Amino acid sequence: MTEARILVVEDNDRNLKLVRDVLVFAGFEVLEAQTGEQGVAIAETNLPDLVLMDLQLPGIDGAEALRRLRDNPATAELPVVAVTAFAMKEDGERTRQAGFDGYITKPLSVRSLPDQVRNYLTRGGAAP
Amino acid sequence: MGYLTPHGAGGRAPARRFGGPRCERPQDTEAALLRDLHEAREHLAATTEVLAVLGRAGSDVDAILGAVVDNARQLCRADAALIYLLDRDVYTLARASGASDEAWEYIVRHPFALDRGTLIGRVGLSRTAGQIEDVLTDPDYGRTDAQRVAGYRTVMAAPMLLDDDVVGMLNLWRYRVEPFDQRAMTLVTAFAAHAAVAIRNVHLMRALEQRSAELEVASQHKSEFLASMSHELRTPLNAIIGFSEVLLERMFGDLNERQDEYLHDILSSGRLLLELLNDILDLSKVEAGQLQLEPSRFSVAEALDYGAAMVRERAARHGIDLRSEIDSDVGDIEADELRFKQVVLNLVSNAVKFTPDGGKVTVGASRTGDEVTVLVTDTGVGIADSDRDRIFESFQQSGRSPNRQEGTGLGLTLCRRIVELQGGRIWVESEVGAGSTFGFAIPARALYEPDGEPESSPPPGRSVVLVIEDDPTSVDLLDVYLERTGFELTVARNGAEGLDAVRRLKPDAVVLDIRLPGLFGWDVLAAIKADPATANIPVVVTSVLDDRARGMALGAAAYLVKPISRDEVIGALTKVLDGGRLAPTTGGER
Repeated sequence: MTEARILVVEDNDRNLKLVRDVLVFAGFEVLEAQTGEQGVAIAETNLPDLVLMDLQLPGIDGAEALRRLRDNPATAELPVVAVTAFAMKEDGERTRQAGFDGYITKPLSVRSLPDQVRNYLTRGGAAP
Repeated sequence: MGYLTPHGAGGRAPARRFGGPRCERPQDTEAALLRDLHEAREHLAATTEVLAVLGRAGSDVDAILGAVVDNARQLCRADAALIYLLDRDVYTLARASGASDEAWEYIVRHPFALDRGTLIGRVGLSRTAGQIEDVLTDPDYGRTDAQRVAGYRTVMAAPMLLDDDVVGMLNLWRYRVEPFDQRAMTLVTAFAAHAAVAIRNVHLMRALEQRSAELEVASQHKSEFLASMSHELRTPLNAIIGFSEVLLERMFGDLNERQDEYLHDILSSGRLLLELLNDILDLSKVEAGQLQLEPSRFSVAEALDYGAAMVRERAARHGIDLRSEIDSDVGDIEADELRFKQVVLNLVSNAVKFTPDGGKVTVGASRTGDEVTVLVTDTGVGIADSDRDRIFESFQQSGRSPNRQEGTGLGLTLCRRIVELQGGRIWVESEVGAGSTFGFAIPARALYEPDGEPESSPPPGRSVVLVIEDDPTSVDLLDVYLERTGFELTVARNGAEGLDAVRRLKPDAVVLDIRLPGLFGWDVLAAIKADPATANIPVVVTSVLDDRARGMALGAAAYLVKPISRDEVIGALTKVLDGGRLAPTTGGER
């Protein structure tokens, strides 16, 4: 089975490397961006199957990057999952309200991250 | 001599004359009494007037001074009124009404000294109001320069006193010789006294405001510091935890036993640090009153199962028998689910941590009246009496087996705060060597329904709202929003199920999400409107996309763009139901 293409937007080098290693190990193709602007640009040109978007980014934050993706018809339906450093329920709700398709809290579980990603991929695929 | 004391020799305050023994004829006494009465009434009237003026002037020193000079001038029929503030060694003109620009400028440049050469100097020394009937005939008057510029003849002044200190002066001028009467003296004295107090109050209030603004800024800084510290610490911790896991997963090759062991050490230390960080952040939120509880209705048994599931692996590793004894009638509770689980998890993981291998941990729950009690019992080392009170304080762990007691030392403190925030209490019973029981009890709130389908027969007077929404968080949010309103929530998780529910339940209103799995929201809306049996049901569309025109064209009654506030939802539902068969009511708490 060919695994999907995932865009990871994360400003911290090491955390980006971590997510990439885990996803590549699980068989995904990984695109990387370190700012929101970069993430939006890569999403528009490469059309990944899913975006993992860190919320706290230099420049435009994750929520703003999401807004730009939604504003563009080409990327509006792209499933975008927030990666948040906060474990608080209200923060989770806020990401849902901001229009993310879901959220994953840090610290990412190396063991379950690939499954979480697969889960969001099938859910997102159901929308027309 | 031209300098007169205001009330004649000996009598400073008019009221003082009432009680004094007098050798006067009856009619004189009567006349004097009448005069005194009149004066007292004038004084009262003056005070009332002054207070009214100051009240209107508000909390601005300039406005107070302005109101004082304007009103004093008018009420005393003076040509000019001036206020000076004592500034080190001179009376500096602060505000004037009726004085010419030249006079103002001259006096500002040449302020009055604290000596007997002017009325102001004299009044300042005597601390009693006084006047000079004609400054030109007063041989001691030393400021003829100012008189020439300003042109005053009769002058009157009253001291502004604060705790017996002169802080300023209220001064009236007349350009012709015409002494001020008793009423004017009384009025100006009152004005000066109240103005002094009002100015001080304004200064105090300003200082207070500044102080509280500073405190607010400081507390803001503290919160920001904690938030950013937490982020800064989390980022490297995430890398430590993540890469340890990567290696432990053997993603890049096998490990020898020592490597495996040390990586586990790194991993658990990283996790402990993260836990500590979360507890510190939570605790500081509680201390700052910023911890927001989000009550929702959930199953107590499920929440306890969650706590047990989190420690099951660890318990199994140590051969600890983990069991639950939950009364069948415990049912649901209305509380902050996440915080409830946090407390349970804390107690259960403590119990497992401090119970020797082969021991037993029991999680129990029961309901008494409107309260749910949770008990976590272990067969651990127990807690000595002397430690029992300290254990809920920060960084206090009682003496137990030294090797396995890793923890943040903040968990129980946090548990107590969370339980207390929800109106409950937490306690511990223990016997050294036999084990401990940690318990907490919190109000169940009124939503307890042992069995029954709430949606099958809504109580009369409530409007049934069908929510077609696949995102559980959005549903939870709506549930919280519509709690204790007259709306009864029914949920469908996808378009097809939603359409079926609309036809079956005929709800009073539908809240429809657009991005649904399967049948899309637009199609659901079109289908509702196409069926004569359901076409009249108002539909509120909610979506992250602002496509109001399309929604309205398809027959939506309202269109809300996510994120949605409580007021928006209730506002929209109230509006679309307005004129419908059931008006929503509020305050439905039982």
